Amino acid sequence: MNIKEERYSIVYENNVIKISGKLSIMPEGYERIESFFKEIVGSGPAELVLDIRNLEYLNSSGIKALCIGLILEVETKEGLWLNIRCSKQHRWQLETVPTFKDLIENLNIVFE
Amino acid sequence: MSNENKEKDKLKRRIAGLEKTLQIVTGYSGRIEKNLRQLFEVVSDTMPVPMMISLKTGAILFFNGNAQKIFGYSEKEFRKIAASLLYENPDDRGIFLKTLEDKGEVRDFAVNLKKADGSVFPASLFSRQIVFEGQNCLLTVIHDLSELKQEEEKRLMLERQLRQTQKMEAIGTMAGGIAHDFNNILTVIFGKLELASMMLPGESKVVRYIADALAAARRAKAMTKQILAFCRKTEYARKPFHISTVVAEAYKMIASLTPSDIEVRLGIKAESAIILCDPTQIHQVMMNLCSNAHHALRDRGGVIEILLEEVRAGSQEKIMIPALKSGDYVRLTVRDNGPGIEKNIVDRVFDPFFTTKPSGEGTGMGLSIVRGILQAHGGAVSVDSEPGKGAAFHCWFPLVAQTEDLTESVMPQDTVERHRKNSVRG
Ligand SMILES: Nc1ncnc2c1ncn2[C@@H]1O[C@H](COP(=O)(O)OP(=O)(O)O)[C@@H](O)[C@H]1O
Ligand SMILES: [Mg+2]
Repeated sequence: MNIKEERYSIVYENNVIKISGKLSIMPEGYERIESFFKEIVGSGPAELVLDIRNLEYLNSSGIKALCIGLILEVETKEGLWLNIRCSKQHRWQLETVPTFKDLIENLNIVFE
Repeated sequence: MSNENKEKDKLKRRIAGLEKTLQIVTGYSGRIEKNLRQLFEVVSDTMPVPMMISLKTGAILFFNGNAQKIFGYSEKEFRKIAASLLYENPDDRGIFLKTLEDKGEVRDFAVNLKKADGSVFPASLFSRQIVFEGQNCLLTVIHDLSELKQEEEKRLMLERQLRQTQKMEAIGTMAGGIAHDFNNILTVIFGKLELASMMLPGESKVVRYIADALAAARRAKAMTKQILAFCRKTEYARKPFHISTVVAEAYKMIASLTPSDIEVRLGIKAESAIILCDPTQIHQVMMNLCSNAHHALRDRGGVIEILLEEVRAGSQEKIMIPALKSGDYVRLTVRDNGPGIEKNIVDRVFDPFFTTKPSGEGTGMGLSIVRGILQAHGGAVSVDSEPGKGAAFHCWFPLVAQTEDLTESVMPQDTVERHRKNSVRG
């Protein structure tokens, strides 16, 4: 199940979750996105990549969805690592993604 | 580890994760909030229009620099004042709020607003309901229309002036032609009357009749002369004169012609002021104005004041008298305490041929000649009248200089003498 909307898309392919566009929907809108993340983690991938290089904007509810729906879920799977590919072009990523390190150990953040 | 402990541990870690998430999210929102607030402040302070945010109750929560500037309140005062006090009529805010409620927004709400110093300016308001700092508010943008209005008024005035000039020109051409022919006819009348009286014995009654006829014809001649002078396009030779001397001369003559129930007063406060003028024309201006004042005081008596003073024309005067450029002037005022001029005709008294006098008594040319002379001198004439209290005509002559010792050299006595004989009543 991929999510494609006018302003954003979330695609899961070969262990890579790719989020693109601008994501600034209301909190209720994130419910299905969070369950999509949980589904992915639950499917038991050996490794997981979150590619947000083309995610230009994410609102605060989106940050919460990432933290709870994806990152904290990864922690429940022993030995699973999450790699986040970010872009230096987006200031919000520079400011916020490094703080995800506080959540779990098994996290790699790469800025490109 | 027991199962129970494992569960406990898992829950603990979950709680810790949620706490950290909360921190991350609030940190993130804080940054966004700050950016948005900054965006709002930059937008509101860079946009070239006054803007403010107020509560329905009238408390003002936010105003930009332009709003402060246009209303002239300090930041502290602005925070205390009720929004309704920014309206000339505070009730207007009620109408404004009602419109906002009915339509959801307000566009182009025309209203007069009031500044801190009490002055009023026309404006148009645009407003929407918003939530600001957690409260239901209205964001209002103010369009200052005073400049627009001024532009419009200026355009209308120029249009009026243009029409006036065109009318004057047409009338001038026509009147000039008539006066010229009329003058020729008068010459014949004069000649024949003089001949006739010469041929009569001195004690004859007819001589008196003819003398009266001659006097009337002389008046007619003076009148045509005025008209011709008015229509003549050639520039008069204007020289620097102490206008006070010219005015004093004319005053003497006017006073001697004035009936005893009218007092003529002279007040000269611009002794050394020099203007470029043709003294004949100054005489004519005074004669025309005083003859009107005589007429206004006829049968009731009164006072005519002739004043000469130096004045500076600033923006205030320019609004009242559009033809005036800012600068220093010598102002000649002829004021009477007669019946004054009705409001509905005051705009027309300078029009050629406008008269309220019965035919035979008024030509309607007196003031239009005064206006023409002032225009030719680079000045302007204005009228101040309060019906029932009198009228004052102000003649503004551009000031050239002030010196004490120019008088003799620039004012050959004969100029004044010669013109004194030619002066006529308007
Ligand atoms: N001092 C004055 N007081 C009252 N009305 C005046 C005065 N001067 C001029 N007016 C009005 O302006 C009109 C035009 O004046 P003017 O151009 O001199 O023509 P005229 O004197 O021939 O009527 C007068 O008919 C009169 O109604
Ligand atoms: Mg007159």
